[in-house]
Amino acid sequence: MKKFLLVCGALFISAWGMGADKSPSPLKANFIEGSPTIKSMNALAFGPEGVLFVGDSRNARIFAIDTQDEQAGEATEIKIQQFDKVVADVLGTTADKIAIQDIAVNPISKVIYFSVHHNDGTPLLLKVVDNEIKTVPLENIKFSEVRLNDPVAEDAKDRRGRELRIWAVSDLSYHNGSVLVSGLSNQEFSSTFRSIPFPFTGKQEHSSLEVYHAAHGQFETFAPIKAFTATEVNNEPHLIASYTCTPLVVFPMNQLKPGEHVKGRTVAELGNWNTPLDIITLEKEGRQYILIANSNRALMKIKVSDIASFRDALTTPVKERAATAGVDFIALPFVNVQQLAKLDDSQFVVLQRKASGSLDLFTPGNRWL
Amino acid sequence: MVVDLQPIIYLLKPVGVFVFIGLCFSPAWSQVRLGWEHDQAAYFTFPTSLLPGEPSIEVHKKGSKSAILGKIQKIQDSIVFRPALRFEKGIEYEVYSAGNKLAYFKVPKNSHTSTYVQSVFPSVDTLPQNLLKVYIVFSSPMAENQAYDHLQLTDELGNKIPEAFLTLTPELWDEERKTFTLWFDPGRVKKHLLRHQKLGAPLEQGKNYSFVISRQWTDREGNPLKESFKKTFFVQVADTRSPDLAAWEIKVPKAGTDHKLIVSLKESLDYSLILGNMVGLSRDEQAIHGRFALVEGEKILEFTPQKPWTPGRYQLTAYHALEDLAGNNLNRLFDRDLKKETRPGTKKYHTRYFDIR
Repeated sequence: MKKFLLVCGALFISAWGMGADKSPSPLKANFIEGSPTIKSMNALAFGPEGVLFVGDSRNARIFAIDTQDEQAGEATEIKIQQFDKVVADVLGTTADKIAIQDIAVNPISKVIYFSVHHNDGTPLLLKVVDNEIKTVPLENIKFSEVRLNDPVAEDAKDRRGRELRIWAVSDLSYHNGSVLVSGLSNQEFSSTFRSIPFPFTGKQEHSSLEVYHAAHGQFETFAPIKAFTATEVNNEPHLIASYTCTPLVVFPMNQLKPGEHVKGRTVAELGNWNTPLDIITLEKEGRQYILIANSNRALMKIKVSDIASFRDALTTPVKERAATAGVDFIALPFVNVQQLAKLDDSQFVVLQRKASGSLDLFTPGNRWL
Repeated sequence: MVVDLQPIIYLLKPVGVFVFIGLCFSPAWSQVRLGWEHDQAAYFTFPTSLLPGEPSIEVHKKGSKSAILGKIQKIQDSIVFRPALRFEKGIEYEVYSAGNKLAYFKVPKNSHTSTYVQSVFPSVDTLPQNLLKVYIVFSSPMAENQAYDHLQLTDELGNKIPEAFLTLTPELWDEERKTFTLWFDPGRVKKHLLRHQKLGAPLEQGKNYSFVISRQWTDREGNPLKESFKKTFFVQVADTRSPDLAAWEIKVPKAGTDHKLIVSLKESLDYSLILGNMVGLSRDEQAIHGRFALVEGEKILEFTPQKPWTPGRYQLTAYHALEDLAGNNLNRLFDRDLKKETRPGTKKYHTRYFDIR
């Protein structure tokens, strides 16, 4: 009898344990099962528990996808030469017809995920496993979504029901329980920045923030944010954002409230003929750095402590320093970096067009910090 | 065993949802069918009898060693291979099993060159020196990721003005991918930014310029445009004033008619005015149904009512983000000089009233 009870107890514990495994975490409790209709994948970002956020401009939505990729992994060296050709081959197309839209690394498994658009507009979600390209299934998965509503455009459709106004997601990040989204529209040239609580509630609680920066203290100017990162500056959460017109601007997160007109502190201008592409935050030996990939400049490294101590906010036309201005930066020997993503606390992965013309995906290691 | 050297045969006309694909190496393989969805070659299928047991096939782009990503499924008596990206028109594919080439096929390409530039906004040919946005409307959906290779701003001599535009990723297309939004580089248009100081504004007052669109820009089908496109314009003084509803002239129709309400805007406004719900018409807080149009070089706003006008006081409302050609909106200028100008307005909507009698 004692043995029987023991077996029953073991069975019960095991059944209870299995039940516990199956119950979704609070973050995924409202996920539904199905096949999300994703029309574009302009920006990717990982949240906790293997949740991948996909910014879909054509749908004006953010999707949260349960990748079920929660097995802890180590960052490994990646090196894939002619990455665009490799991807084109496994998709049965040619490299000139595809564009890598964004790269994100799962912070748990350290697996690199990336999105590709074919010229005809077809989006695909792929990942790199052991230096090989694999598909990420999007059928019969668990997901949730939020619509990037706009009070102006809610009924802005023509008679055939087309959405006339577009709002393109330019960057996406998860920070402290919220999905942060920057975007630009075809209608107005200003920065639309949203902070959306996650899990998505179904209610559209978020509203857009109007953020602007001052040029040399004299001109108040609006522009879309191209890329951003959220990090601690002076022990307070801050948003470090780069604008399409190159200023690097810092905003305290606690001031970013719906309906507020928030002015950021300009700490640098990133140079002529240049558009910032990606910003990430890394850490080495207790020091925080941001890395910025640029369309026409080398990869830049800036100490977050320099941003914290930079008080001038570019109040006067600044002294020229290699056609840039503001906080000191170090140009790392990586030019034509098209994509930049954080691999772990101190390492990053880049997609770089080499001088030979080859578009390579690789991990440069942490010696550059 | 690889049997080779037979000519490719195409039977291009769809038979139901299928089309026969290129040739096969034994008569049995002629039972392979290509499946079409939305005019795309989405999968191929063949009877399970051709490959008994667990189906094991690889599909390669001709000349590539990498197998194409896709799913193999058994559906009743058929095996279906669905690639992650549909098979591309004009590319040849090869089907292998256990190292043997079983079949190869090529998806036929519909060659046409009928897509053209339908219109460019602003449609007027005299533009402000601080012009910010241009909209290009095509007759058919276009391909992505090519725009900035095929767009140029040229001076009077036909020389390219370098770095005039902001190269945005993602490109700004409407949902149908027929309207492309092009921004001038705001770092050059904006005063006192380094780019403006170093390079100057892209446009100089008193000169002629052209937007040139290359014929090589391809549509979604991969075909080039029917012809290249050029719009020449003259640059006048910069626009440094916000649009002002108070200055708009309203030509009021008579009650009982369904005549258009005609509003003269006194300047060309941004094409986006009609892209979104930027203007509205109401009476006693009830929306008046009808259709707005922006005509005559985007200087005239017309409203055609669905029903005849009834007498009363009407309200024309504009959202504050409504912009002119230089990005000045109803509340603030694109470049606001903090030392000279007053604070930006805070009204969400601007209104004008008029009476219909």
